Amino acid sequence: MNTEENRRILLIDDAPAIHEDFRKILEPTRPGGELAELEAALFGAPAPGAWASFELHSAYQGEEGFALVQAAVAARSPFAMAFVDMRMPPGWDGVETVEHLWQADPELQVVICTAYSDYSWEEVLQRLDVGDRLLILKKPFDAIEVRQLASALTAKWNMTRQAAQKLAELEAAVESRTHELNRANQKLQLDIVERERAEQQTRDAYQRISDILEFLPDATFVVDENRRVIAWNRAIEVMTGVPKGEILGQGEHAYALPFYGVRRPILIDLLNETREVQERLYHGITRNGRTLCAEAKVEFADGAHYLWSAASPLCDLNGNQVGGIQTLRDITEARRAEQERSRLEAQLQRSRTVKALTVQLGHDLKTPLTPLFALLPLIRSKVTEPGLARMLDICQDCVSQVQGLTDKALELVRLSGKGMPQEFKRVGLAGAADLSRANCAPLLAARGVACLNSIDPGLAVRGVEEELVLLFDNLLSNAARFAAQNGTVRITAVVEGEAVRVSVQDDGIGLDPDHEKLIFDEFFKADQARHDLNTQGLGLAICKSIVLNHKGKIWAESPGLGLGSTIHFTLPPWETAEPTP
Amino acid sequence: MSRTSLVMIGVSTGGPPTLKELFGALPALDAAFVIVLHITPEMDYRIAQGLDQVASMPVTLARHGEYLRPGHVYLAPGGVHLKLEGNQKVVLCKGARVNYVAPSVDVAMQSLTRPLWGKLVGIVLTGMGKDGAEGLRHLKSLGGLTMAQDQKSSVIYGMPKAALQTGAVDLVLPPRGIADKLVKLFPPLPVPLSKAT
Amino acid sequence: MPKRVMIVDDNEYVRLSVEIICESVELELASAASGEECLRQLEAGFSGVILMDIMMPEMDGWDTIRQIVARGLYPGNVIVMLTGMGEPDAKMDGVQEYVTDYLTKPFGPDQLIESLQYYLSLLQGGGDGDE
Repeated sequence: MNTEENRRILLIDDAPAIHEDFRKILEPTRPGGELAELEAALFGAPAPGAWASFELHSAYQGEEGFALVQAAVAARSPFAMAFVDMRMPPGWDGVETVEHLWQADPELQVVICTAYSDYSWEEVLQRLDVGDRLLILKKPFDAIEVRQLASALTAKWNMTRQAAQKLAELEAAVESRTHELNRANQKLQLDIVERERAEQQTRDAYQRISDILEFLPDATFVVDENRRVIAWNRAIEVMTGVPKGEILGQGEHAYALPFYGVRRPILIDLLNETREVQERLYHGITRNGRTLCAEAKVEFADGAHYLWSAASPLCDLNGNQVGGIQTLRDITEARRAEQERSRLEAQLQRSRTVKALTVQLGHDLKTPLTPLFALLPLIRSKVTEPGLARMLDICQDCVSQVQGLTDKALELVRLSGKGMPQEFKRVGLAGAADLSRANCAPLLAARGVACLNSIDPGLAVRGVEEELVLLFDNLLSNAARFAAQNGTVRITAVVEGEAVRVSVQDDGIGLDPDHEKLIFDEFFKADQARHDLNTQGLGLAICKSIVLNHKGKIWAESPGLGLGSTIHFTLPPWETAEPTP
Repeated sequence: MSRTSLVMIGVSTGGPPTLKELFGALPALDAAFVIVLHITPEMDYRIAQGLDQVASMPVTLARHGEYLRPGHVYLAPGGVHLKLEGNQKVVLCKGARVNYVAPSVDVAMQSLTRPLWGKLVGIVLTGMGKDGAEGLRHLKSLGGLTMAQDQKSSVIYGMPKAALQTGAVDLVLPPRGIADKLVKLFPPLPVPLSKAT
Repeated sequence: MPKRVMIVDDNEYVRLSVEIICESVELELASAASGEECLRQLEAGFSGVILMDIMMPEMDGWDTIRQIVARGLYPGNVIVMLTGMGEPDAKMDGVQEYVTDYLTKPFGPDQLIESLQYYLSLLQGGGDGDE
């Protein structure tokens, strides 16, 4: 592009004289002169020695001019302006020429020279898309007018070019900048979308973790670096009765309140403490990496609970601690079960020991009794002297007592040493009572006491037969002793709800109401004064032990002294109902 | 098929004196008695002899192929098992110990079949272990009457207890009670057999 | 013909008591304080009624019986167990047929004599082992 000022002018006129005139005006050979002075006055002093000359080209017909313009455009050296005569026969007229000129070069500034009122301005405007590139010069015209126009219009052309260029540059710049901005904008948009997505993911992940935390079955809470509660899940709400609304955001050991009633350090506060401090606060605390575990006993509204707890620090990616998390578990039930198990084990151990001891004791007691039992009668048979005989009788009685007591004591030990549930079988109650009646027959007969068994033969209980017979034995021998002479002992049984109640009733000496409970205590004797060497106070205690083994109850009733007494006891019934054979 | 009633008794430790008490109280009855006692071949004859001296009925060791007769007491010999064919013919067989013993009460009782005539009674007396429990259960299933000795009178309560725990025992009695029951069940023998001196 | 009875018990008084009782009915008594001693006497030719305590140190009654049987010393003897325990334990399984009776301590003299006489009568019997 030609950056120099464009001073190329085209003149299209059919009169050669005009061309001469124009040449003189526009291409003067010397600076100065009258014309120059005038110009200087009008336009300011020109550059010394260099009056800007125009480059004038001529064409004598419209078509010719058109061709020149085309060529100039093609050569990239367009005309800035053209003077065009209105009438140039035989060819195109001025307007038609200008039409063509502008087709070839729309930027061409044009001056139409006209002598006639060929066309009105309006008509010209109608025919041409004038814009601001057309001026009219009326003939005759002055040189000054020509020069003014030439200067003005070339300047205008140049400025227009420059402006256009500037504009183009600006536009290019703007477009480029806009383009950059757009790209930057797009990138920003993408960044924003990306960022939002990442944030959403983080929120989602956080929500998921929050949900997980919320629904963890173990009571859990989380604190931030300032030990303020930032999470308090459902399980801990249930455990403590404190809803999250009341505790979220709270600091200063607020999390200790539901457990200890006071604000004090708890496990989560010990994460960075020394071992000494940790162990002082929680006896038996253990460490696993950075996690602390401990057990503690706390008081809730419904009593003492044992809690197991673990606390860990929460760290960011750089390993800085940003908070802590603690989880708690109520192990009260487990602890109780453990204690119960220990107790039962101890009990089992004890009963095993008791059994072993009993066996040994049995043997060891019986061994020295043997010579007594064996030899005293022999001695007695050789003694005739009444005094000696009496002494030996006493000795034999005592040995007999010792033997009886030993048997009973061992029986009692054996029964109460039973820690393990025994095998309960079906026991015919009437049968057991009958057996016992047979066993006690001598005792009953000795005092003329009748024993009636009215237990339904089909009634069965769940128990251990030999123990039940022993139970009846003890009751019947007691009843035999305390029944009235030639009296009656009645045995009955009735189903009451979930148990079978058996009653052994005698019509003998009866019981003082104060003694009703005591008689089941070992060694209790209703009548302390009675010198009855055969009464062994362990009998009812044995009965109690047997009944307890069968998960029943035993008690005594008596209308009063001299009015007989009844011992009642309950036994578990045998489930399946059997028809009476 | 036998028309004779049969009483089969299983017994172990404390057997001899208990049997002595039982059979001492029994008159000659119209039934055959088979005793399965845990005994050694060295002692069986002597036990039978001792029992024979106190019992009202003759007591002998059961012989292989022998047919049971009423009013007679047969003791299973030691070291072998005793079975009955048709509830009346003695079959002795060597075999592995059952419940640690030979003769075994279970083996003897389980060889019995449902009688068409006469009564069937099974009794388990004192003894250690559980021989006889299953035998008694089987005997009961044949429609027989079952008895077990009571704890108080048992020298060792093991076998009667095991029998009781099968639920197949009809009566629990001491030896005297068993004797009384047997007297009620069986008529006296029409003509008592003569006893060897 | 001397009647032969042996008492096997680790307790001296028990042995003495049985001895006195036996003397009163002119029964000859052999005495052993342990299972080992019992076996020695059997091997030396004793045969008769053996009253054996179950609970003895070192070798208890059951093991002694097993030894007696294993060494072929049983024939010609009647074994009666003496014990303070109510029930025997499972150690008795397998030797039931060798135990004729089971006496619980303490026993009176009459009871012992009666039982001894019965056991001795078992040993008497006509002939040896014929059927």
